[in-house]
Amino acid sequence: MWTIVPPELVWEGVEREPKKLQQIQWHNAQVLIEPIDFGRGRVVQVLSTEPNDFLRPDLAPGAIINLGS
Amino acid sequence: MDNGLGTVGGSKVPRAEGFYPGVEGPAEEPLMPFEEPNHDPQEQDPAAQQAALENIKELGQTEVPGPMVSRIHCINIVGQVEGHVLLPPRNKTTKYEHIIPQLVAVEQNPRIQGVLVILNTVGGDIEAGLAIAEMIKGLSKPSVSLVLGGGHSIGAPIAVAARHSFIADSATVTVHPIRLTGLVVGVPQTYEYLDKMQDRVIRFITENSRITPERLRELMFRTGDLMRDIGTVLIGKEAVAAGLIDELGGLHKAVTKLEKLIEEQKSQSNEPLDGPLWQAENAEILPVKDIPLGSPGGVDH
Repeated sequence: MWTIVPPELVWEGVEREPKKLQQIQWHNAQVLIEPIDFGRGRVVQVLSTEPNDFLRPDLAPGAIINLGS
Repeated sequence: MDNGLGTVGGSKVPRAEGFYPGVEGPAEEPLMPFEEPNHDPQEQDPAAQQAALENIKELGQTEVPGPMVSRIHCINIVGQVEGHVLLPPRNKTTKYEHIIPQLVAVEQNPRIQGVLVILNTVGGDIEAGLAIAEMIKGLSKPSVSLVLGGGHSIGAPIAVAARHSFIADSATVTVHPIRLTGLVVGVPQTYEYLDKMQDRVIRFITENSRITPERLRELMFRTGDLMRDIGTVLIGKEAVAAGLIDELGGLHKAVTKLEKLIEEQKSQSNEPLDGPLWQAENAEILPVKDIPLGSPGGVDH
């Protein structure tokens, strides 16, 4: 890491159990989401070979997906 | 439904021609998959938009301005540049696995004509940062970077990767030596490895800015300037004076410069890129046996 933030701050909480992730198909793209609620998930990563999927705002990391819609 | 992240669901609202003043409309361009109304961020809820249209018609207004889509794509480099290890959730991160393919889409999308990279980063993973920097450098479309707040550590190569770099008057760039965290094997090779990593970054920065390697090293290893580290904090003008950043300026200057570069590129559109991005003829090819065995590689922390 090459950062001005002290390592102890960057790595704080790294030992905690990582969140369980789920891979789903969302509007023609495979997406890795972190379930946050019933039927809702937060985008973690887009698993697609279509470059244009990475321009989609609904698939930006951190975006909330409503699985019902 | 509208979750604030763009509309999902069919829409029958007619799309406006000519997204951007002075730019040819998208009529002759092939329809890209993401241009489907489903994913257009500019479009509101179809029902709401239909209602708005009705309202305007009732009031006798004839022209409805369509959604404006910029020809500039803006990439934000914020927080930590996240590398091969998922950082704990308290870090704000820029994810290379998203930025890199996004730049591929930017390169291919005919509607995007320039890239504005806005940096406010504290640094992060070297390989991820250099990967993003190389992607920006390798774009055939004009790119301008703007450092706001801070473009520290690995932020510096990303800032200089753009064709023209700006720094706000109050923004800072911290240059300091790379350090290794975690388990470090106490052998001389570790130091050589660290030195090689340092060289990679120094080479990238000096090749893409006006600063000399000697000057950059001097700034990097200066003592007494930083409280917890060795290195130098360059504030606005100082970064320009050192030759690291091209120009002092804010948003207006950065956007104007990008527009200018776009126009320049358009007027000479048949010419090749800035220079040979890949100098195969000059490359020195090492025979396999000369490549030192056990060269470290991979994760950098």
